[in-house]
Amino acid sequence: MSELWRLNLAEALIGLKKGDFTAQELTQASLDRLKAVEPKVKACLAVLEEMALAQAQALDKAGFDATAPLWGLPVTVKDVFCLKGAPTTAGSKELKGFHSVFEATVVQRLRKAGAIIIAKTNCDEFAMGSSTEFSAFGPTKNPWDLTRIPGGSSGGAAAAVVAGEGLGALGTDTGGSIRQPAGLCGCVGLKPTYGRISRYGVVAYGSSLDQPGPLAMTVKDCGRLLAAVAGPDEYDSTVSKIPLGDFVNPKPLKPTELTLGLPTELWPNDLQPEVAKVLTEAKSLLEKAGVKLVKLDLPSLKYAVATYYILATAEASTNLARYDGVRYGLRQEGAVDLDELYAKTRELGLGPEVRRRILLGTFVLSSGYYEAYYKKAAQIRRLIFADIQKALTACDFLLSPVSSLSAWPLGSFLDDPLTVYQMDLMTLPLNLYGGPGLTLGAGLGADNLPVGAQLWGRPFDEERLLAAGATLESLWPPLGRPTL
Amino acid sequence: MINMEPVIGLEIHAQLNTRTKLFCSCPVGQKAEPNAHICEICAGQPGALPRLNEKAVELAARAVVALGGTVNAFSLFSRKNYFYPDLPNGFQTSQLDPPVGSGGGLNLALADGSEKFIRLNRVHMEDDAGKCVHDEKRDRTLVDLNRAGTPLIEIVTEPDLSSSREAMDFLKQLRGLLTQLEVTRGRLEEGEFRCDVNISLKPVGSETLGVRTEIKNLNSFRYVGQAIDFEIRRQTALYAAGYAIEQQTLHFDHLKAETRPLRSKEEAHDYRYFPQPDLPPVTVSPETVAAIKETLPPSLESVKEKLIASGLTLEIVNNLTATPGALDYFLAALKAHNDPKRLGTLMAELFLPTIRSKGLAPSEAKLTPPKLGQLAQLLAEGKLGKRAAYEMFGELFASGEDPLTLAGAKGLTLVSDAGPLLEWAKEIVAANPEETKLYLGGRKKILSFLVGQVMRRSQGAADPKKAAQALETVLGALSQ
Repeated sequence: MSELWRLNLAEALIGLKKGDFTAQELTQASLDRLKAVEPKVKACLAVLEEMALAQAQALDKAGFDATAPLWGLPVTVKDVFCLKGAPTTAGSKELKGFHSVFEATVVQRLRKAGAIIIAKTNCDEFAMGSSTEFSAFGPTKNPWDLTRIPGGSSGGAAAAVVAGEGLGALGTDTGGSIRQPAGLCGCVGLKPTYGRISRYGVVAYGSSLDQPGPLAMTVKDCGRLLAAVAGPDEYDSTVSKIPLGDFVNPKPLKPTELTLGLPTELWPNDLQPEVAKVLTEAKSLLEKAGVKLVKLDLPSLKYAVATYYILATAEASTNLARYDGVRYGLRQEGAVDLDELYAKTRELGLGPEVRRRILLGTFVLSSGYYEAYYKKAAQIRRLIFADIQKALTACDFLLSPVSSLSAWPLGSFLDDPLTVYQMDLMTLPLNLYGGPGLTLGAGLGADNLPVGAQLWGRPFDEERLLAAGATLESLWPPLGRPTL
Repeated sequence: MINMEPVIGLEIHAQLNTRTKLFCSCPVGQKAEPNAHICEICAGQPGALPRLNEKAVELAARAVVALGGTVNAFSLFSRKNYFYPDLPNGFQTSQLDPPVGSGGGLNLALADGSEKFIRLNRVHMEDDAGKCVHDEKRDRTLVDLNRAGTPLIEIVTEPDLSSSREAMDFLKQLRGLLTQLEVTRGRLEEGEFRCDVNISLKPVGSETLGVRTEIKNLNSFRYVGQAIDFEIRRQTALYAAGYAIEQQTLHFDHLKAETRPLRSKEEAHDYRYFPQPDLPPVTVSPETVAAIKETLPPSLESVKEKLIASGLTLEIVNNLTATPGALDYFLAALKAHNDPKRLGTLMAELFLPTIRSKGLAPSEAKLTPPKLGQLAQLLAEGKLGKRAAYEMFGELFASGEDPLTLAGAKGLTLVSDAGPLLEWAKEIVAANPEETKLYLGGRKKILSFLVGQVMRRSQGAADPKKAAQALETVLGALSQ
């Protein structure tokens, strides 16, 4: 079997350009790898083999195009992105077999940049979850240990990248859904600034927090993917017109140019020992290289989890109202009246975590509770913003763990949603803030599981974030790929 | 028993006169097969996002300015959540706080000639729902989303109206204004202008409002009047019998002319409003507001004042402003013959009743404004009698012919030549010796009797003023 799937995006692009191999050979290699490991990893919900090969063939026929920044590169997209030619399920039974009538802006941009979409990856239902265990189609397995979760909700995307099923991936991040699985699977994941990438054609969860973003094996690859899909879109009026910056070749930052803030609230004493050990070693590598680390406080973070779970679920409760069985998707036949049609359809189609969040969100918006919950949370969100904004004037970036635990065994927390919500503290404040965040591997733990670290940046400062990420990447031990 | 008086407030929905829907590019208001004018956005497909139609904002702001309200520099869309098959997203996108416009009002012309200022609470934008159509044959309810996403403004009044008459007149006046400004096409039968009525009773003189009921979705002025009158009677009877009024939402059955409960307070929706995260705040700059003020035709108030100053009665002015297009027609006719009083009377007594009875818009009449101007001129010059003008109007309106030509053809033009008039005068004087004697004796008033005789002799063809002159000439000769 061809080993071309092992290349990262930048290496593959050079090979394609030089003519060392064709787009078809590369695509075939990724598809072969996918078919070989997929029975173990279960990262994908749909494989677009025919479409991908046809596209690769067309590219080869037309010849290498230097103006197409992702020419001939096989990638995957999370199953929340609408595209034609395969179902878009968002990991839900509600949308099983649902075919979108239009394509997400980022999917169109991927294709225009010459990327070849080979598969749609698994995720927690409607991107609600941290483990992919809430996918209606079964969980994805962590490529480092198939008995463990890959993280979530973009767990399929992260596992696919690490397992070599495609050279890069697009996921979405509402409360950490790119950064946490990237950390637990040992790849790089970038959540751009809210408003950097169009959400048009992305099945919505929490609209003021959702943000698509790339996952890949290197920081540089994430920059290349970001550059291809970012920027204004007339179909999403929340996308900013602030200039993009050079994401492909960001201006490098030397270790001595970097001051990183360590928020005490995110460096608790009870990190899992394997995680703590890797991160302590990673920090000392940074200091040795001349990176300045400063401690600081973000007192408002103690409200972050509650704030997030009020705002995100409020938005989710109405974003998911459209799944009523009337126009598309699942419908429970034989209902005696309209209310029963709604109730039965949604009971049948929506899983436990989604229902939990819809109920929570409906409650916090209800008459008599709005002021106490939703309104308060919206106010606290502004406090959190101000807190993080202030912290980021005292340093260049914040540095934090991604997860207090390394990948946990499947099924560990299925009956304990609150513990899992609490663990999101490491990632979700950034979504409330709106700024960009980058996860990269800090090292392998004694348990042979990846441990990630996370950089937090100022809004629309992705170029410098990518530069800083590349610097850290060069200082920390490479994780490589697990043997599958 | 305490005397009660009604307190009425209106919520008016006017469809904005845009080419496309509020959040997508689908066409608005065109006749089409069900679900022919839908896309992923207005059909609520997964992943679709709204994008605001700027033209709708401009029209809404225009309405606010014209109604004397404040255009808020910053307003927000919110989601109004409820489940219904014709509501594809499971929420309506509406404005809660702040809306595009706050305050303002309209001077309502009352029947007694006085005016009453009706305050507005707010004007906000929102999208319309689709329609459920019941298929009797197959016993199924089908959903047509062509209307889903159509832009509306909702105009909310303060509870300043006191009768069905006032409510209907207010609606007519508001519709007249908004259609004149082309904010809405305002076609009632198409549902482009419809309203909800809030109504309660309070003891006369009291400031405390009673429990109110809301009558939903009335799309005819007549129904508004009937519904209010029925509801006043119903609430009055309940009070009289000592029952409490229940806060509820009502439906008006126009066949029975009565209101019926739709849902009670307990069944009321909890809409769970919250800011729509997919849409940035709507901004309208002071420059835009200034530009709107520039392009706005003179306010109805100032036009009315001018017309009244030119000699028209308030009744005629209100008549002109209540019918969409009538004012424009009138002003065009004035250009042909600048005689507001005579033209105003012609409009109120002949033209407007005729177009109303034929169901036409003024601009659709074959009788063009210059021709109506000519008619007024013929009357002013004495070439046509008033009676003759009224007699021939039906034909004139139907044919759109030149008034002078038509009057000539029908032999209705007045004889004002001295020759025949003097002949008739001599004849009449000779035939009425008694009256002639009285006139010569100083009873000058008797002249009008003699003029009448000349008119009769001429079978109405004589110009009365000229006939009087001819008689005076003949009688003057006798007195010497």
